[in-house]
Formats: sequence, structure tokens, C-alpha cells
Amino acid sequence: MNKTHLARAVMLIAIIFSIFGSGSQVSAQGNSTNTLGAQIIIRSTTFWDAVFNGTVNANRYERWSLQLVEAENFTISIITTSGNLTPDIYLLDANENQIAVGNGSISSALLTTNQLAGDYFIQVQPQTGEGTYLMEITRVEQVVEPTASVMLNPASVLVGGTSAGTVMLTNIPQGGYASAEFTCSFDPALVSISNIADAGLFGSDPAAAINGPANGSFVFAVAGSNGQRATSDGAVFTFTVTALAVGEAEINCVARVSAGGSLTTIASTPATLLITAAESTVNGTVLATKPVTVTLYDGNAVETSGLVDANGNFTLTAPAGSYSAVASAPGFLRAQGNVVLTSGVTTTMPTISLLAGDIDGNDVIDQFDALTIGINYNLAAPAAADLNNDGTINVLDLELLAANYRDTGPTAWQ
Amino acid sequence: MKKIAIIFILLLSLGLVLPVKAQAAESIWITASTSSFKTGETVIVTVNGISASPIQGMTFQIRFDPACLKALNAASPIPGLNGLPLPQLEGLVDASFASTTPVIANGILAEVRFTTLGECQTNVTLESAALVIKNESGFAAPLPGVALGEKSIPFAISAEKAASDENPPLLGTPLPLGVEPEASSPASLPTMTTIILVAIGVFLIFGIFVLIRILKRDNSA
Repeated sequence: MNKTHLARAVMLIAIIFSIFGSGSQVSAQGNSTNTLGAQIIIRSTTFWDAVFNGTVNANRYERWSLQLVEAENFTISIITTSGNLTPDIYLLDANENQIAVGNGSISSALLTTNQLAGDYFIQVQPQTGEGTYLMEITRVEQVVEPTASVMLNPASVLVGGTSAGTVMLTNIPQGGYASAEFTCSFDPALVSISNIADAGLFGSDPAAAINGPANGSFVFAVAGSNGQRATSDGAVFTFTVTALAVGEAEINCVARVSAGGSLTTIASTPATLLITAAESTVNGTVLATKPVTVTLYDGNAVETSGLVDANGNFTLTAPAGSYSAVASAPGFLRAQGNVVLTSGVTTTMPTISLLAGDIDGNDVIDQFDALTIGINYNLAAPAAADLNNDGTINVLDLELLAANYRDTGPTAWQ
Repeated sequence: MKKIAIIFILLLSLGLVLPVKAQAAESIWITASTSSFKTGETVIVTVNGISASPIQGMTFQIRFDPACLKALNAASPIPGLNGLPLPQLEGLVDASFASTTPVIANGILAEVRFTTLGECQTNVTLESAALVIKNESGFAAPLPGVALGEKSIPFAISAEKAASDENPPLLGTPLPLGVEPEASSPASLPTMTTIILVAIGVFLIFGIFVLIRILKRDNSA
């Protein structure tokens, strides 16, 4: 083969590749598209209600761009036109992460999804076989229904806390509503409702009536006066929710609306208020020449822990209950005491000084602790033996230990 | 050849018959040079040890009757083993020695000196002891498998006063073993001092009274 033949062969290969578009070697992508070893061919940008054709096999996948200028509900359908292809459809986000998948069956695949505005990719690849296909992307028309929905702000409160509730009407049809009646339900063991007030959607000076709240429900009815109607989405009325106990309290308002004449029930969307126990706080002061950790134990389980600050002060929060509080520092005897935390109340523990000398942490200051100082004299480690925290293990540390020699722990923290 | 065989059999028999005394690889025991003392004499109790492994410290606790003996000090002859001054309890020698480098401990580990207080029949007892090594975390830890040998020594102390107490010099730097006296209240004075002060006060008042009477008598004369 002379140089001319070689050059022709290279050009022929280049032409073949240019026909099939630009390819890129695929790297493994999580657990999504099973693309090891296959090339991904980037195809053109897609648009609605058009048909696209392509070819895929074990070594060739195709990726189509899709741009959504607003949130869309759409369907991607693929039908095999030749070969034994069973296709799979993967919807990828702009970062090529899989966000939806439509697994094919025999010779077709379907993926219906709802996505926000943004850039996406539709990747077509064979589940099995190979062949050509037709792909169609169609919008799914969204049915817009008038809806009464409850909104809570905040959606999560502590016991005793309050949340502002608002009942909204959305997707109000042309012509508007002359009146509406809301029957709202809630769990009276978890929440109480108060301050029910009109929000003005039915115009100024509407005719409004409130029944309840009682036994977990109340009714709010409103009608526009002087021909005023609710014509645009907005708040119908507001109320205050007070959390009574821990739990998830659902509040739902079933709405019946009138465009003039009869009342029609419309869709309703409830809201749930998450109620958690009020945190209780314990604080205090623990003195030592080393960093002190204070830990709250619920039985044998650690509830929470934290370090004291430079002045020895600490603050811990935990649900109400009985705890064992333990203050510890390397080289010091532990201090332990019981503390009962009350919801929403700060409990202060007495100030305590930890006793220096329990270097090996066995709850007794004994000769082996002293010997640890002796055998590590003028060294910096182990750090627990440097009782005065000056960076050197020496007679000053032995002095501190000697002052508490034979003491045992944990010392009472009361 | 026959003689050699007989000698071999005899040696073998001897080996089978002689009892073997089990000796722990590491052990600690106490000894004293004598068991009879006069009042005011110094008693030296020696703490001995054998260790196959180098150690970095030792600790021992010797119980004694504080009515018969008073602990004076302890010292170790092993270079590098330094005593740790720790609070002592009445009737207990609590001594610990440490070295920053491993040392060989075979023979005398330390000696403890007492002075006899009066006529007594008493014992000193090695209550506990340990050879100490440095573990992987840098902490002092007892060398495992150390056996305590002789643990108790009886002493007979006579009422006869010792003429002079000449003792061999200390084997190392002494570690004081005195029990610190409890702090007395500085506000309280001894009873005798109080009585003397009261008496002086009474005499002063009486003297002044007599002086005034003499002066009055002179004036009237």
C-alpha cells in the first residue's frame, strides 16, 4: 500500500464518521443509562408535535436536546420501525443526570413526565436488539380546575406556637364567583383555630358568616355585595392555628362555589402543620484547665453533647425529659448529675470544677496516673497527662494530681 | 561403659526426684535484715524484685502499725527511678517510682525506712505492688503476671532505748513518707497559754488596785 492508497483510506473513514455525526465516547454514568462502551450521538434539538427518526444499537445511542421555556407535562413515544429493537427512553437534565426513564416493551417505549423550564436531553438506547425508530414528543394538555387550597406559614411549629393559615381560591373561571362556602376540618387534639377573618377576595364589605370553630370544624361563607365577585386568584379568608400537641395536623377546607344560582363543590388541597415538642435548654459552667465536653444521656444513649466555651459555659438543647449530664475532660474525673428538662424552660446546672488527675480515665486518681506523669516527664504526650494544659508534663501536673490523689469518680454534679 | 550408664541413670533419677520450685518470671517481695529492734531504732525494709522485661516504674504499698512504727522515707538504688511525692495515709507507705527510660529491675528495687516508736509486736505487710511499663498510648500500666512473694514480716520491738542509731547510707534519693498533719485552727490558743494570759491579767488588775490604794493613803497622810 503506497502513500496515496493510505491517504484515500483515511479520507474514506473520515467521511463515514462525518455522515453519522459527531460521536463521543461514553463514560459510565451512575446507574442510569447502561452506556459502557457505546458512543452517544448528539442529535438535533427537538420541538413539539414533530416526528424524529433515528438508529440505535449496542454501540450507538442517540441523545436529543429538549428545551422547555416553561413547565410542561409531555409524553415521549418511540416506535421501532425496523430491526428487533426494544428501546428505552432516558430523560436527562442539563448535567446529564437521569431524572426519568421509560422502559420499552417489545418495539415501543413511552415516557410521560412533568418538568420545569430548562434544558434537557432525551437519550434513546436499546434495551435489547437494534434498529431504527420514530420518536414523537407531544404536550399533555393540563386540565385547569378551580381549587381551594389551605396554606400555612410556617408549616412547622413548636407546641404552643402559632401558624398563619390562608385559604386560597385559584384557577377561578372567567366570570368569577359570586359566593363561596368553606367547610374546614382539623384535629382539635392537635390544633385550635381562631381569628377567622375575610381577606377581601369578594370585594369590599362582603357578606360573611362564620360558624364555629367547634368539634374540629368551622364554616366560613362569603358573598360579594353590590354585585362584587371573586374574579382572580387570591386569599378568601385567613385564620390562626395554635399548636396544642406534637403531631401532624391536617387542615382541609372543602369549598362550594357559586357563579350565580347553585353551589358547586370544587377541588380542595389540604395543608399539614408539623408540630414538634418545644426544645428545652440546659446550661451551666464546668471549670477545668482542659477542654470540657458536656453530654446528655437518655439512658445509655447520647441525646446531645457540646464543648464548653473559654469561660467554661455551655448550653445544650434537648426535648423535655430526664437526662444524665456528664462533664468530662481528658485527665480529669468525670462529673455526673441528673437534670430534668422542661419544655420551653432553661435549666441551669450548678457550677462545678472537675478534679484533675484521672489521666487514664478509669474513674480513680491513683498511682498509675502519677506514674504516667513520671514516665513521660518533660514530654507533651499523652495529652491527658498534661493536666495544666501548658504543653509539658512535669511537676506542676503532679501537683494538681496530688491534690486529688485517691479521689474517685464520677463526682456528683448537683 | 557400664559405669557411665550407672552414672547416667543416677543423674536421671536425681533429676526426677528433686522437686522443682516454681518461680514466676516477675515477682516482688519484701525482706528485712533482722526482726528484733529497740525503741528508737531504724528499721529498713527492702523491696526486692525480678523482672525479665525492662520497666519504667514501680509502685508498692506497705501496711504498718502507726502505733509501733513511723515511716521515714523510701529510696530506690536503680539509677533513673525517681520517687513521686504523693500524699501518704496513716499506717500505709504508698510509694511510686518512675523512669523516663526503661530500666532493668533485678534485685533491690527500693528500701523503706521506719523508726520504732515503742515496745510492740507487729508486722509490716506488702499490701500491693506492681512493676510498671509504658503502654502503647503512653500511659503507665502494670506489667502483667507479676507475683507477690514474701508479703509479711514480723517485728519485735523492745522497750529498751537504742543507744545510737547508726544506719547504712540511703541507696538513692529519699522520698519523704511523712503524713502531713491536719491544719490546726490558728484562732484557737492552747489551754495552758490561755490560763497564763488570764493569770497575768488578774495580777495586773490586782496590782493596779493596790497601787491606787497606796497613792490614796499617801495623799490622806
